Amino acid sequence: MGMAWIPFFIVMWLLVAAALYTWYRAVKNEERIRQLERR
Amino acid sequence: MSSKERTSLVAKTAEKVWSSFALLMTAVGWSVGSGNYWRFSWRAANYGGGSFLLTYLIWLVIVAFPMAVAEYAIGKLGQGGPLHGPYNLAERHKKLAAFGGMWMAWCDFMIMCYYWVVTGWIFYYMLHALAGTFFAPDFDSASFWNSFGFTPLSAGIGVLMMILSIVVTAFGIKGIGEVCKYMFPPLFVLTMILAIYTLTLPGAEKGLEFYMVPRLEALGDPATWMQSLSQVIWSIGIAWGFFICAGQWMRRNDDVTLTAFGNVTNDTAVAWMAGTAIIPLIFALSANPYQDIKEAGTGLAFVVLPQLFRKMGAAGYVASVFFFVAFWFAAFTSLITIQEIAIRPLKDFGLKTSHAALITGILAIVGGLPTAFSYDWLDYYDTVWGVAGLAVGLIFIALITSYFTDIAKVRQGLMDMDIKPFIRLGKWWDYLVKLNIVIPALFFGWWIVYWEWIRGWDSGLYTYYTYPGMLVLVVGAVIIYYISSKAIEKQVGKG
Repeated sequence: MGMAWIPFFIVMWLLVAAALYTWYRAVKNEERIRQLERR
Repeated sequence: MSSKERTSLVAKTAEKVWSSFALLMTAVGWSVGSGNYWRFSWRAANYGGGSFLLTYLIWLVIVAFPMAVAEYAIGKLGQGGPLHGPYNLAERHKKLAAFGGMWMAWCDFMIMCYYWVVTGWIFYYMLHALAGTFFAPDFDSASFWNSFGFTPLSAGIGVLMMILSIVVTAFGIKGIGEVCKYMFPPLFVLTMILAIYTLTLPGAEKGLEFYMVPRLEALGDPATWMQSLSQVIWSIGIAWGFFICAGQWMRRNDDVTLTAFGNVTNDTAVAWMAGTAIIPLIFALSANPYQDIKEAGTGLAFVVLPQLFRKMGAAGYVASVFFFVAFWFAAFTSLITIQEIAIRPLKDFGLKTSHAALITGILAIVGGLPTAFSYDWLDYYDTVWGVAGLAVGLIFIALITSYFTDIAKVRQGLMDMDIKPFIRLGKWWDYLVKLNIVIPALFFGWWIVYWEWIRGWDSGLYTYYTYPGMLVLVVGAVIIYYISSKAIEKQVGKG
């Protein structure tokens, strides 16, 4: 049984993590935009 | 009319976005639809497995991200839909730019013609998931699919989906962002759970080997590159006109690079996790996985997923209900949005929303009927519009943002925000966008030459792909050019 799939497998999970990170960034951006609007 | 008004058309249907997160979820909700489950697993399994995935990732960097940003730019900076956005943004060849936008809306409409068919399949499976059909002792998922797909029953359910879409779009879809905000996160998490579950099954590594290890001979086949390129464009939803509309909703401080990056990563993550749930499972369950993949064809996800839920036992029932409800929702919201784009130019021409919804809906039902009854026709539509049509749309986005206007100005326009951009666009972005004027033409040309003259088409309607397919596209282009020019002349006067 080869293990050649492992590197690519890790890369794809990193991509999943990056996807979830964009959710967090969108929320943070909105906070910043609201802050700027209040000024 | 003042000269300022003459060169910048204000679209009649402008609306502004509600929050960054809702914008991201709406954008991602657009990208994630039936394509991630149905089309990705079908294409990845049939066109090279790991090699497909590798070329897919390459296309994400070279094509998907820069071109999603470029398409958003047309709407955000051009302040208009598929007709007005490109017209406003372009500094020269304005009419041709408007035609490019209309081309995208036209491809979007032609894809809608078979999208309702697939949405109908998913709805039927959702009802059976609720009824627990997949858990009957004598249930056989392959014969269940074979007795349903491309029958009058599946066509009828598809038509029902299209009618529902007409009703929803006729009333306007203002609340869709709010709904996406609550539906997309659970779908994402559920897909992740299904992928992890499949990975725990004995024998799944063989599938991972096929799915995750690129093979050299498949990398040499132009079909692998072309199919993954078309899947990237199709699945993320570039060149359909949606990002132009969404760009128009954005406020000045809404970050295009974050939203485009979100589209690319979220869509690929869901597609890959769905593929991880489906493809290794075939290898875990079947003695002859390659033959099973070939036989299942376009129905791959529909044959395999019920087997996955059966394997999970009692928890499988709950998972299947959640999954198919969310899956149907993802597909149906995409269908509504696809129709919204198709009616958008008609609304900009001055047609009432309800009339535009009815006209496009009925035309899509009539135009899509062949695809509801034949796999060959569905594949044919999917190739002519889902592959060739979108490739041409991609070239138009690149031309509009880099050749019809000054790309450095477009880039500065996008970076003009009070907040720090997620990714700072530099000259590298200009080059990538310009590269996309040639990439689709090059790969589509290679693919056609390879199949038409070197290898020969396999069977079915493939022999009709090249010349009649091109003829359909050219005739359509002439009609669309005529309509868009007339519309522009009517609104700004000649010259």
